Amino acid sequence: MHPNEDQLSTQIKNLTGNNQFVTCQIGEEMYGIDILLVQEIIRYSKPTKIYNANPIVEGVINFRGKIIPLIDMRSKFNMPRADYDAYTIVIIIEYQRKTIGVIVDRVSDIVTFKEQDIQVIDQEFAEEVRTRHIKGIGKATSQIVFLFDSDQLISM
Amino acid sequence: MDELIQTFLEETDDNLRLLEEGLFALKDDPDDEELINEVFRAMHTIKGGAGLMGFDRINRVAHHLEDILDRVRQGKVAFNEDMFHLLIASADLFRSIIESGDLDAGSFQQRCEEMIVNSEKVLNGGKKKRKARANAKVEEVIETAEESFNDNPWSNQAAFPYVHIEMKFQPTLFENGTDPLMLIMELEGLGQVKRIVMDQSQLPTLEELDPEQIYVSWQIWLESASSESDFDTVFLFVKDENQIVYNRTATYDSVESAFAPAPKITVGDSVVELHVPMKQTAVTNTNSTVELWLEDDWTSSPSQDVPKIPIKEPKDSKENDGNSENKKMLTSSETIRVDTAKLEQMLNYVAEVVISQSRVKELVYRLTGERRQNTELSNAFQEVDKIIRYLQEEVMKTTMIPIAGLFSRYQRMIRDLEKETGKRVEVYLEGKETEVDKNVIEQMTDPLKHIIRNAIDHGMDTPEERHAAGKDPVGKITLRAYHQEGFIIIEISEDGRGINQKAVINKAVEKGLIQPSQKLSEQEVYRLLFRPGFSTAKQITDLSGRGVGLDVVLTNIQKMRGEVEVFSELGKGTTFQIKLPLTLAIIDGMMIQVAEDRFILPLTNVVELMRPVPSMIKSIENQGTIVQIRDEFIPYIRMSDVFGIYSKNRNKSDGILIILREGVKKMALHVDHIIGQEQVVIRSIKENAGSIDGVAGATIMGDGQVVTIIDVSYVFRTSKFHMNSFMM
Repeated sequence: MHPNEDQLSTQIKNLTGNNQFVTCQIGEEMYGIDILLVQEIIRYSKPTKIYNANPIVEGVINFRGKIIPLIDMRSKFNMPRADYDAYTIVIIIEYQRKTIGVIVDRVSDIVTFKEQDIQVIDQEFAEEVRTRHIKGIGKATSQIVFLFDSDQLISM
Repeated sequence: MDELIQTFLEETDDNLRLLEEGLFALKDDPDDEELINEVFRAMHTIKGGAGLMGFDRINRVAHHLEDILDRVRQGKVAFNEDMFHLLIASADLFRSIIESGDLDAGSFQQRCEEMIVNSEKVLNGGKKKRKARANAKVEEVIETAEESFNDNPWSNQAAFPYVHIEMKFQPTLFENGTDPLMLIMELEGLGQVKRIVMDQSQLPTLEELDPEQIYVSWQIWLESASSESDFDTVFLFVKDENQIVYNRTATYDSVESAFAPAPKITVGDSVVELHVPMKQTAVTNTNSTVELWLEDDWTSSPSQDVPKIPIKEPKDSKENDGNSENKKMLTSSETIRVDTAKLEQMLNYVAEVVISQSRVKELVYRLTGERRQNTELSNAFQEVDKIIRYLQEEVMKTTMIPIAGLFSRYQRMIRDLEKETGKRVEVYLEGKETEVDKNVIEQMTDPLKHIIRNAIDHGMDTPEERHAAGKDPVGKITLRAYHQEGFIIIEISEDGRGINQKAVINKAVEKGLIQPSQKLSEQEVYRLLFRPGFSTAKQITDLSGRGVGLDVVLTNIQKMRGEVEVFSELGKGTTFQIKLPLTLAIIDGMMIQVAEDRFILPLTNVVELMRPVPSMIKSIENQGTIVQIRDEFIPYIRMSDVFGIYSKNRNKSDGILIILREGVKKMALHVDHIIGQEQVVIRSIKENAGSIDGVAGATIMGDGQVVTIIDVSYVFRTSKFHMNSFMM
């Protein structure tokens, strides 16, 4: 195998264990969260507001006896906030012993990408397009899915 | 392997604590055998553990120290000051080795060697002292002392070249994997085996024989130059449970003379009864003593020089051993090691059960629509309620430990301080057995250390001063702990100088902390001591007086929702009283509401509630606001302003005023409603949401909703107007 290819495949493997992603919509675009991180997908209900917290923290909820923050992805991406409605969804993710909920507009599907369908975003590319949260781009037949970097996803 | 190391570390830590505690107790009561045994056991276990793990250096040092303790234990030398200092220093050494993580102690080589040299010095010194002291006494005493000293065959190898070993084992010996053969092989390493005799008198008939039990015992004669401690090492793991006796003898020939010369025995050959014609009388007559057994032809001849071996009646000894075995098993099953994280997890789940249960209760009542009618249901719920409460209490108790361990740590420090300051202090402990949440103890370690240092460094007077004041030159410091109304009170009292209020005020004025004209109450003066940067010590000593200390102490204690109070009388002494909640996991809270949001205030901070009277609330320079409560003015703030909550309710006369306090500082917090009081389980939000200013934690209510717990000190900080700025 060509060394570059080798490197590429390791990068992809780092990206996700089995290349399965839960896709969700934030604004106009589709994003993918590594399925291994996802604990549960729940309907949004009003959390308890924490004053003084980072504004992207919508509040905290009781998730199976743990108190976890809900992060509004729109505010995290500096997008105008949307009104929460009956379709607003919270994806509970656990990563590096931290559990948080991310508020997204819609959840659509679970998608599996073949390795060759994922374009890994290296640092240079990331700087050029000014993205912090994305580690790769998945090409599905009908759409493009931005794949979250897990570390960035849980950062506050 | 890592797990083993972990266990070793934990055990050694425990044992070091036991060692230190024991040593201090022993210092006051050097003749207490129980204490000596305790200290010996601790050292012995450290040694054994280190040996097992292959940490040779620790093992070797511990071995030497154990020697000393063993002699003390056997009454050969008296416990003295030198031993105390040596052993305390050794505990220090072990602790630093453990803390450094360098368990092979490569970097501690020199200290280890020094320790061994010192231990030998102490041991020899101890003997001389013992002799000297004995000389000073009545002649008889001298004689006995000298006698017992010279009589010790271990110290007179020339006269007693042989070692006689008697091994009688518990029938269950094989269960712990001990093979007597291995012991005999080890003995062979210590000298030349001259003779082995096996007693089969206890061997049952074949039908009754349980192949997993041991029925035979041995006597071994060894020509050996090894020391007693070498033998101790061989029997390290069997000595306690089994009857193992060894001593030096002058000859073994005397025995042999009765028989044909013994063939050289090499261990490894089956160790069967050798040429000792066991008489039937001895075998059947099991209730006869072994001394009788010794009277059989092979020992009946000049065997007097075999030192008296304490051998009991076989039957008796069997019973006794059985008992002691049982006891041992009892004590060893009394405690088990549990990771505290597990206990905390358990406590959390129990709290969870409480919450879920009240939720279920609410739901059921709502569904049935009848609260009181359905008595069967409510009875059942009450029962569950009760059990859960018991469960919660019990689980909580598991994390409670006596404060004695914490106190004993300071005894060390106090000794050191005594040396450094030249002051003389006697320590008194009261309420050592008071149980305190382990987390509280951990977080109290440093604050208490500061206070005690202060007490000795600043509070205690020098022996000369004390003498001049007509006091006992030896000062008295008391560490006291007790429970009071759901709190733990820890007091540190000394009978030293007492706080000179004038000096404190002058200092505070000089530092610009207060205005000269300010009138302060006694408590307010003492509070100044806790101000950052305050220090009255004329000289900055190594111990305290760097201006950090008491303010840190106060912050730490307040973090735990505790308080400090100071009582002092000039010339008579000072007491620092610390009041802490019993547990950090649960608090009594007052639920309040502002606009749509609910919050919980710790009840310990709530002084009183009042209806606001608009005329009592005054704004100064359109900035800070104060409120008059009876004859006192205190800062006033709206809860909505503390957290920037949008609230339509700006009317001074609506809502309710909560008078909060932190230390002696008070303030009024204006909220919309008071929902009620309840006990809540504090949960961290830090774990998942990071730490957030003003939020001490959160709790989950019966309906599953999260409510945040307010950090009261934050409320005080946000209050911009510091009318009482001279106070804390």
